[in-house]
Amino acid sequence: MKILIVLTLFINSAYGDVTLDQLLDKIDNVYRSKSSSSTMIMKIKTPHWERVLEMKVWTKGMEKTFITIISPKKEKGVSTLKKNNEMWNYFPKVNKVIKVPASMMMGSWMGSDFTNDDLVKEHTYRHDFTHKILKKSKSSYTIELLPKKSTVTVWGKIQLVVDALKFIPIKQDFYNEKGTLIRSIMFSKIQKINQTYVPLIMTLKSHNKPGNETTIEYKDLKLDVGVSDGVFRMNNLKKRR
Amino acid sequence: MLLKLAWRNIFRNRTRTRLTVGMMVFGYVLFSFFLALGDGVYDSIIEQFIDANTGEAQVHYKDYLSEPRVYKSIPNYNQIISILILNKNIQSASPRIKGNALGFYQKKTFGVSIVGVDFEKELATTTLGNRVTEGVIPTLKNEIIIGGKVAKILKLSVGDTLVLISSGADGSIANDKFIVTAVINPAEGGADDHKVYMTLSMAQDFYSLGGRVHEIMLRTKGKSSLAKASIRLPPHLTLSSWQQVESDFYRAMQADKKGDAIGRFIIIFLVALGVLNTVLMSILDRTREFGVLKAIGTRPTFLAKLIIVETLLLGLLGTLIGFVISLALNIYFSKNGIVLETAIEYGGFRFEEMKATTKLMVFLSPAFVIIVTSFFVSLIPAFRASKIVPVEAMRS
Repeated sequence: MKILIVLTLFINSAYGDVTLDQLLDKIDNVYRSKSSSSTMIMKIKTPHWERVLEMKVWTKGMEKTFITIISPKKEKGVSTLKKNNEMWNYFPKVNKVIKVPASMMMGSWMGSDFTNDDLVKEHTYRHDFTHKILKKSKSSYTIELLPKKSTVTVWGKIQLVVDALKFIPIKQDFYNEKGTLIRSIMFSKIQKINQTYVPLIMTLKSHNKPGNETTIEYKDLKLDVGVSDGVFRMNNLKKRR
Repeated sequence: MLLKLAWRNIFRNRTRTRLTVGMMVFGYVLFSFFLALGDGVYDSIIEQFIDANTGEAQVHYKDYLSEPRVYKSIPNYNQIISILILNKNIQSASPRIKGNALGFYQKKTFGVSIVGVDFEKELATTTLGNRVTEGVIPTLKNEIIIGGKVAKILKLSVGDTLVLISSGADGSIANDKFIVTAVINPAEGGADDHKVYMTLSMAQDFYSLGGRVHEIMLRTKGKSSLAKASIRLPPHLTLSSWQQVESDFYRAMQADKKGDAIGRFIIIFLVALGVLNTVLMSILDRTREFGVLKAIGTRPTFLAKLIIVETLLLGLLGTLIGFVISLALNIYFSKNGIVLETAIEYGGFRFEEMKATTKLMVFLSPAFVIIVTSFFVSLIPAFRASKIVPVEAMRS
């Protein structure tokens, strides 16, 4: 009996999980290639107001991100620099760089439904979560991800629907520790860039805040374009653009 | 006949009368003064609260008061104000913007609450001007008054530049620089501690609230209550009395007053006991006399009535004298408060002296207590006297 269990476990990891690992690896890296530059349109909708932000984004690996708002005019030049686990915001009107404290990580980023933590987090689905396939069809998998003990996250469970042929996410559901669905991210407008598929639109719906929705659309997303390290220096934050 | 007899009886034994009336006067004055001082303190607390910030009432957007959000604002506020002012019970209506922000100065950060006001109106209808201890009232758009704690923690003084960051009503980032022109009460705590006062138009820009406000503060004419004002508002706006606006404070005060009621009850009890004692003694003293009256054919009911009327007359006399003394005493202490050695703090305000009130209730309640107790107290000896057997009474 015992041998049988060990055997099935062995077969499981030898077969299913290897391909699942690879798949997750691809999913983890959809937006995180060696480097990227893009223009991002963020639409925020709440029951009380709506607004559209246009920003420029540069990334390098998983560690570095630089974002600066180009419109609306009122917020032009407001920038965010993310380096490893730290994050700074720059407000040109008051010429002030403010480090985002750990306590504010779950706070809204630029008034959207995304949190500061969404920008900072560096964990990968492959390495920091245990995974289990819940449903499998020809073209899509539904995967349950549970954080490992060492993983620092606010989520109790993430349910991932992936396109198994294009290696891209279709939908992500985020649950809290009590198992309540908190938010969902839907991916759409799939395009092929540098031989890989990338969904260019991300729509986030908060289930605990009905009527709230944030949509991010990438415009002219360039992957592996060689972004200079100078972009991610502190003094670039204050540079006039 | 009854009244005349009772009146004469009172003056027959002057010492006895003086003693009884004296006790009643003492009780009246004690109770009245206690009430006047207690109510006086509460009244002055309420007055300070209303004068400082709250006003008699406020207008907000729907449920702003229970769940304040930057976007819950009053549109076309100027039009609403102009309609409100037409009401003959309303003296003034001042628009305000309220919000929170993070304040930055050099390396320090502190959470502040912003109040955007029309300084001209605010100075005319609140005590804001008196509370400013240092500097001048802002005249330019980006000038501010800061609370004591803001100044202390950020180490800000007049002339320094404070950076404020928050988010606007449309979700945008609110950030701007402000110059401190005045500080409120830098040494002491209070309701202004975390406040930053700025001009209304600046606050509207800061929170992206063009042409909108969060609050309209109302002052009523004289001491007319809100109910009398009969204010009609469009359905998306709500009117709240100061008791609703400062509900925490109001509830705390009501609880405090209830605690005070025990003290009042003890005083009523002591006064009643004093009256009972003197009346009972003075009547027991006259057992022989009643025996004689009975012996010459006075009817028991007449005797009982006589005692009751006598005691009531004494009660009226005591009340009258007590009223005159209390009136003088309370008026004096309403003008010259009792200075406290250590100031008491209540709801963020400091009180250095206790002032008495001269409200009608302060004089009516003790009068009621004295007369009612003297009536009930007189029932016992009246009943006993009517049952008295003349021979035994005269022998004692």
